[in-house]
Amino acid sequence: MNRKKLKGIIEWSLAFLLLFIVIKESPYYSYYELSPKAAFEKSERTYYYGPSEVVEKVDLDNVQIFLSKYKNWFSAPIIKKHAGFFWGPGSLGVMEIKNKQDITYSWGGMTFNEELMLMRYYGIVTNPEINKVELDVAKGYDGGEHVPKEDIVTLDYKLKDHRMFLFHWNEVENDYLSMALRGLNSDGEVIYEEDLN
Amino acid sequence: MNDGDAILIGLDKKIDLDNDKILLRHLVIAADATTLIFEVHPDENGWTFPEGALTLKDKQGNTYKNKASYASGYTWGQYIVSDYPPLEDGVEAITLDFEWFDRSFQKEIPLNQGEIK
Repeated sequence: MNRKKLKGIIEWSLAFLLLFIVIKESPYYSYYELSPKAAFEKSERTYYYGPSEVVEKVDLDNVQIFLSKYKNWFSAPIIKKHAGFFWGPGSLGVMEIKNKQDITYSWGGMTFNEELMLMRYYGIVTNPEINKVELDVAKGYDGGEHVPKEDIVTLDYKLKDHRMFLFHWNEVENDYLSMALRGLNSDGEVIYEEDLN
Repeated sequence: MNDGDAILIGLDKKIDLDNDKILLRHLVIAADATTLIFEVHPDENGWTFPEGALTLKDKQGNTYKNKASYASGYTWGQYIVSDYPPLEDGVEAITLDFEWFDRSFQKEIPLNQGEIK
């Protein structure tokens, strides 16, 4: 092997070593994960919380919501995509389940860009009689403003065995004002109602 | 204790919290504030440490809640300075109490080992 060739090998080896160090030390390598599930699990681990049981997952291309439960708490973390193929934590939003209430709920939004502001309303139902949750919303109204009945849209969620529910929408497309949250029994009777406006 | 005097207690205690290491460095006791200085060495990058989950308790039954925290980030983790209200008179030991969901730890710190700076 001549000297020139040896020099070339050493130079390229050093270049690769440097590249390896840069990647390994970069936040993309240490902070992000390659799958949404791994990012969700890491988010909980580094928050000293969980591991939760994921009862439902919503896949919105660049964003995923993990509706989850852990012991006496529940959450609906947002996991988001970065730079095309990395996944990282968005928000956690952990709430304690209040067993004396029929429904414990929480809500929260997150702005991603000009096209997406993800809003979510989520909770858990403790009253066994409730089998459907409804959320009244109205488009284009401000809080406290009077909303005529015909402008109210009702979103509904049929409860499953896990007893959790999740409503989500994009605030940029649907500028919803939350009006009321209801719990209905199998006969369609309202047995829980909370005014949100 | 006079105004302006402070007692610095060196701690050097290590606590395991899940996969992370917490190193208690110093406790500063002054007439107008109590300050806890510690480091968090995380196993992996993620959320910052929840300082508010750390309270101080004394044997008389007083609880001192975190008022403010100043965290500096390093490649190894976070260096955190947390402020608490001044301790009541005659407190000889405090317990550091961490309560966060189902995670918790307690560490007793005797206060008679300090020196006036």
